[in-house]
Amino acid sequence: MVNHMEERNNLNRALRNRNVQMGGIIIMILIAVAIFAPLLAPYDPAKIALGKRLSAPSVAFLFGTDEFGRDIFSRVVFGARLTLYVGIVAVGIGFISGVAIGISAGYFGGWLRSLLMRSVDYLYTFPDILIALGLVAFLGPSLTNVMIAVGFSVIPYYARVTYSVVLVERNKPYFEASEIVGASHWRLILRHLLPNIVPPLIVVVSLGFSAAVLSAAALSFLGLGAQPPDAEWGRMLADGRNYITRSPWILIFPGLAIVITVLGFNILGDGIRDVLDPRQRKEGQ
Amino acid sequence: MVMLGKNGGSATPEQIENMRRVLGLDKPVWLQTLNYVKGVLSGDMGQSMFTDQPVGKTLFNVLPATLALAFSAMVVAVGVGLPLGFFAAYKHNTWVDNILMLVAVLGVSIPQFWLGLILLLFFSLTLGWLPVAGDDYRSLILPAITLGVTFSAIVARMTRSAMIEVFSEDFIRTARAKGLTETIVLRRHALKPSLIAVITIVGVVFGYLMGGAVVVENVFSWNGIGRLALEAVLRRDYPMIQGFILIFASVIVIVSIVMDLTYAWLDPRITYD
Repeated sequence: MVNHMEERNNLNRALRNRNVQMGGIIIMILIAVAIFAPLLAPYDPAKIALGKRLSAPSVAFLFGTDEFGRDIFSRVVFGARLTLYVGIVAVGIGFISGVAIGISAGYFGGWLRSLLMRSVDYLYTFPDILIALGLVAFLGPSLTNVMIAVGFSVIPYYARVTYSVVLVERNKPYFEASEIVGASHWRLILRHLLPNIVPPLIVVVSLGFSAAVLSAAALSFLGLGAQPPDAEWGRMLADGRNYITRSPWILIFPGLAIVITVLGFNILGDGIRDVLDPRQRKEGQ
Repeated sequence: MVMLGKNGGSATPEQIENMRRVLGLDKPVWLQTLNYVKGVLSGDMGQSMFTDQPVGKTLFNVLPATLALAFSAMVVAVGVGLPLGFFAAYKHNTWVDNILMLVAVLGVSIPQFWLGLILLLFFSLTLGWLPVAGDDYRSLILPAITLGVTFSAIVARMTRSAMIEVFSEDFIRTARAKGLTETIVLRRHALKPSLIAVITIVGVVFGYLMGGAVVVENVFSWNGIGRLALEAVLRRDYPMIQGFILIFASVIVIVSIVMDLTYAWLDPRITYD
């Protein structure tokens, strides 16, 4: 049962929060760049022009060119697509699996709860990048496998939050009342549990995006994710690392793109958390 | 990369079959697992598929290098992050707090490998102050700073929220109401609870720091377990990967047990049955 007045109130407060505004603008710009990449990029991101290799930033090449003469600005612009794509798939995997696990564990309880939440706890103990590294080892290096691996490694965050919300909701009088009048499992889960799970998970999703983008970029940097000639930001840094002394712009721009993207999701997540949890806003964090 | 030729290699089917038997890959998975566990329990983690070297020995040889990196990074992270977080909490809701937290958000948003490359470009390649790679303590400075700085942002954020709670405790208000000087309030009443907060933070962050070490080692060619792990993953050297995960997991578990025991020592209210 969700109070609609409260919901609208939260939305209003969110839109007035400075962090939400700042993070939101950054993310909207990122989305716009990804959508309009072909219009914004002056060159084909994969087009090799050996005569123009390692050119410094200029009017013709805003961010300079890389070791194959490819326009770094165009590659950074197209990289926004890959980054968003990786983030959406990884967060999607984590979200759907995590919510399913959290609801099953919290709603049905019993041995299922012990099995699911115990597994999630084990998964939680390990750093994301290590789980991802282990999975990529068995699935093989590719951007798709990195998305699966990163998505898998963030399941615990979604599962734990979902589980705790379900525990609170299912003991409330309205929930017990609908149980008593004979509402089906599906009705209870879809109509009563799910709407209550989504708001707290928005924070996890926003912060999860930043974590997924960072992990995926790191794995691609290590050569486990995107493969050449993909215009992926982490991969661009890995491929260009031997030329950074002569042409530092190879290093600067893709890195800045990652920082700004991750910063946007972090600020947005912090802002939404402040709005949803006023107690924390007063007392800290 | 073709190995043991998935039809594409130059090996004949007989050679492939033979190799599978030597490596034990012809047996069912459950039997392979059982044999592996048996081996590990008697101290044998198998051999690398590439170098034929024993996995345990290879990994334990470079483990100290990784631990040295992780611990020096932890010193940087706590040394920088703790005072900043403490100060931000003390100046809660002022412009000092706001600026410090903005810097901290920026800090958690910077990819370690990028920061590492920038420091490498600046201090090693341009200024020539520090070596680009190597095994001595001078080559440890940049990797430790890279890893430490990104985690100092996390430590600062966590310290701040823990300390804001401590500062709003009744005993702090009482101490101030008694007319104690601010120095004594901070030193005698706020310090010890903050120690417990630090232990918690170190425990939580350590695993992630070890994960970060894998990335940073590969930026700086620091000869640790993370470099071997990446090599093993790229070559699909399964015994090495299994050994790496086993050792890494053990280190993380051992550290968290030590942290739990330290808690009990710091806070007499906590006991373990």
